[in-house]
Amino acid sequence: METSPGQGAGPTATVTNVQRFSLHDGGGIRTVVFLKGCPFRCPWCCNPENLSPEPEVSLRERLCIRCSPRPGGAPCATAPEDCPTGAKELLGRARAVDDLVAEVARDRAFFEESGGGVTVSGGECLLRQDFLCAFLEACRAAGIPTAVETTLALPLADPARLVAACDVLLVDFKIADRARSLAVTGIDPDVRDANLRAVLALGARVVARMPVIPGFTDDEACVAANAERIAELGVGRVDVLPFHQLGEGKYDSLGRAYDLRGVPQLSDADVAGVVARCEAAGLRAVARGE
Amino acid sequence: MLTPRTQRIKDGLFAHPRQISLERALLYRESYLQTEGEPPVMRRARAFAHLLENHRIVLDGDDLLAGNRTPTPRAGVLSPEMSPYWIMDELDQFPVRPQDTFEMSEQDKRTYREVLYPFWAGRSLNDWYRAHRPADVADAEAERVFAVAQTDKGQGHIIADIPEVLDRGLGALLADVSARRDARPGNDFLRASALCVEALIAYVRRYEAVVRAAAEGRATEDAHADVALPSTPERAAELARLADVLAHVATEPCRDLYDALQLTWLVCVALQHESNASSISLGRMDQYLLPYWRASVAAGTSEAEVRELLQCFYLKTNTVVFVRSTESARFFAGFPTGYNLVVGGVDAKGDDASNELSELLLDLQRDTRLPQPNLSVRLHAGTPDALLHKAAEVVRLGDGLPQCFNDEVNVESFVRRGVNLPDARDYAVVGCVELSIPGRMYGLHDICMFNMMRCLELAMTAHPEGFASYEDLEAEVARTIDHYVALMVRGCNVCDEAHRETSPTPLLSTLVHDSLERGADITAGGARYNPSGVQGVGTANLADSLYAVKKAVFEEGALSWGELLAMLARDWSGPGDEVWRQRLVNRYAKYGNDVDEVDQIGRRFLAHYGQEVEKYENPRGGHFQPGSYTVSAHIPLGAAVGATPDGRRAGEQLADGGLSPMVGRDKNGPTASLLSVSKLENVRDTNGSLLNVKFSPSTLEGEAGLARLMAYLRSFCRLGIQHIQFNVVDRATLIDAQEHPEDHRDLVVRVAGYSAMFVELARAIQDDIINRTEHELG
Repeated sequence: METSPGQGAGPTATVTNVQRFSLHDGGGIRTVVFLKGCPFRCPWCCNPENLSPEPEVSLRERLCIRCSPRPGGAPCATAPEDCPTGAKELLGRARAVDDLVAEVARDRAFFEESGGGVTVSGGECLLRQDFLCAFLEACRAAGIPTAVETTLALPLADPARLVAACDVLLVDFKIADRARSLAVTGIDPDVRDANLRAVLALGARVVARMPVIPGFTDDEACVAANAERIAELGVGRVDVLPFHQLGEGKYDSLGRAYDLRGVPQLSDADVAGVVARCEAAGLRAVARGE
Repeated sequence: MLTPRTQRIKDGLFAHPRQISLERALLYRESYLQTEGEPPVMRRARAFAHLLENHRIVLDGDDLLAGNRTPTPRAGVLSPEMSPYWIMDELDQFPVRPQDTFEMSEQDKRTYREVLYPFWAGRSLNDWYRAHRPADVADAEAERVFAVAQTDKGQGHIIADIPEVLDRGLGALLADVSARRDARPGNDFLRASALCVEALIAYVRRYEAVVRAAAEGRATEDAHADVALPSTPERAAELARLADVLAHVATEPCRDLYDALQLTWLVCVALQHESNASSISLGRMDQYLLPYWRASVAAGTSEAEVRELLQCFYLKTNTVVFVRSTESARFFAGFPTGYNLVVGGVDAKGDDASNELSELLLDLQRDTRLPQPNLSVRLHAGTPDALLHKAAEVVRLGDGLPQCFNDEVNVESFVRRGVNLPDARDYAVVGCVELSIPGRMYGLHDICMFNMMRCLELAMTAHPEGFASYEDLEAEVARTIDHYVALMVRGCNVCDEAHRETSPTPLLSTLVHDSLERGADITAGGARYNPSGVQGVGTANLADSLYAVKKAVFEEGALSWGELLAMLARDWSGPGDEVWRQRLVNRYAKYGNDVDEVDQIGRRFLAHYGQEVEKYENPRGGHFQPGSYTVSAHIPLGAAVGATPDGRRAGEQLADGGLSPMVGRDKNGPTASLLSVSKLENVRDTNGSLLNVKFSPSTLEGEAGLARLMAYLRSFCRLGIQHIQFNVVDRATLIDAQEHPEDHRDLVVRVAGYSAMFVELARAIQDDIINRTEHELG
């Protein structure tokens, strides 16, 4: 499908997807903007298309009609823009702030009726703080409530500006042990916590997000440590996110290796213990978030 | 929950295969043999009275309400007086046809061939229609651009003034009609009207007599009645009470809910006996039942008793099905009998009209879980959250009920057509989605569907040389539409006259204002409002097709006109055609994704169609008005159209609903599709339009799910769309989506954490979702 060129005023960022009618990313009916690029490498990542900051090509084999010959299983030679079915796509397109705000604003009626708004996710959207703040400010100016989904584990260029432009920050709590977190994902929980203290001091509204990943974040020590830390920081609410396999197909399309293939998904019931543990720490815990 | 009694009644509905019944046809013929030479309206009234005196009435050992259309529930009543021909052609097909099967005995087939067919051949409504239909209209019907409906069956599609009958009583109505008849002695309609009301009163008394006899343990004197004798003293007491109710409502105003439901149902049955038609609907039941419900509650009737009585009524509406020809059943598959029941909306002053009954009447769907009554809720900016919440809860059951209508646009739509404001605010729904004014409008709401995609196809194939510009192509499509609209309205008007000349409905007319004042049957212009409703079908496919041609042929020059026509003519079967077909499907924007340029093409053409039909008048002094719905007709209408530039294959279905995007083509989710639909000039479609939206059950899970659906419905109200209904997706659809992902690109599923497009998920997770969904649906 052809699309309008991403021209407009303000800084640009590489966007993979503008997902309308998203339901669990900050409350109400939301539009989620996915920015491309992440400095971290969580093995369970469900958005592998947003790891590299550069545009990249994805090929969904099941939609391919073999429009060009591929002798001996040779790779498809068709350019993404010529692919007739959309099986082959170029993921990531430069989008300007104004252009993106106009697209997001289309669902204004739904935001207003549901208490929803826009959520910026990724990747790690803090990689593009200049764009992020400009975009959030423009959404605000257009009357659209804003949220950001982040590890908060990168240095903040201007915490006050971010807090001022963002109605709610959804902050990840993954592997609690610092050494293991650095080794497995590259995330430094200490950086996150320092940032979190700073934004909370500035009056930010924060919801913690705790993905429950078998073998990585589901052990009792990790859950307990995260729950205590969230409570200690003064964040009152945590969304407990059961592990899912929604990203599996994307790894195939991108030709990336995926270590968690075949790991069973978790249900709400499977994470009931984690929810209870968080509640025991004095938190308001909700499976999957609202 | 159903009670043990109502559960048994429900089980009884499906205990036996549906039968074809000749009872009405034989009694009709008996009467017509006696009335040769009388005016048609009197012949119809006498046949109606004869039927009411002699058809078999039955009451099982459970029911609290009397009134049956056929000896066994859900039997198919043939009307050879409308058209004996399709029945003759299809006698052997009833048990084996693809849709809506019925059993028919060999004896009945013989009777039909030897007695009924010879009597009606040459003198039916259909004969009148075909004899008076101009040749060019017949040619156009053969071109499959449109097919006039109700040329072989009753007209229906109307709401009688039931509240007035309940309020005044049949005795007062008869006095009124008799006085008018006596004041205008030469008026055949008023003679027929009085005869019908007398027959109706006698019919109620007939039920009373057989129920009374049963209550007293006596054999009935009625030769055509079959009432189960009471097996317990409790049942005897129930029958005695029912006999008292029947005795009262035969002439007197209703006192309570029992009276009101019993009389409403008997009027419904009588109207079916008269017309044998689809969609003689119930109107705003939460409004007119309220005083009777209050009286019952005040008199100490318990909540459980009220609920059981209402369950009995709801089940009754499922006893009537409507037998259609094989062709018609493709357009209206699966018995949309059309006991449409409306709750909510505004009152005559524009304030919220909902009341205690509004939620209760919706909630009953949780008990009955059946297709009728076809529940509708009218929404407006002031609809209370509680009612919206109840509607959302019932939608989530997955039955597709209630459907939602939007006062914010529908009231204005009627006012623009000259309906006075209080009447407009009192609108209700007939059949599926057709908007009507209860008791005041004879709207021929389902008189024709118009296939805009055939017009595109005809315009394209007539010009192998191509067009100088895209604008020229649009203009030619518009001219083709105009040409066939002119033919369509002439066909509709002949059908309109055929009903007037052969098949007046004097009882129904008596219950529609201002027939008595005018002394005219509704078929002869007796109603206060007299539109004819014709549906423009194909908006989505037309927008998609024209946009693709605009881009690929006229702007990019990537495809020549000749190549395009050749690919369409060979249905994409040439070498390389499939690549082009995929490109047309996938690489050009489609209606339903909130892309203005393509949505605006849809807007232009649906509005153009509407403006064109509005130019024409019908024989009753009313105007044509557009609607846009398909029911199931997008399948046969698609079968009439060859391959099209939106990548459709020859014969493939058109977009469902009427306003819905083409199946599988809306990929930007349900907010984008709603916004696309909102760009149409919805206020113009006064006859009603239809939008299907599909959610997976998990999207609506929990209180948060209901809140989302409520927000979505509030947005729907704000956006000025006339109608919306929801499919909550089932396992079969998901499996089909797995096997044919190209048809289900719009399917949104939610599992653990966020929503995703189903077709983008890996096989294993799809399997998981399928299994989990089945588990959820239990």
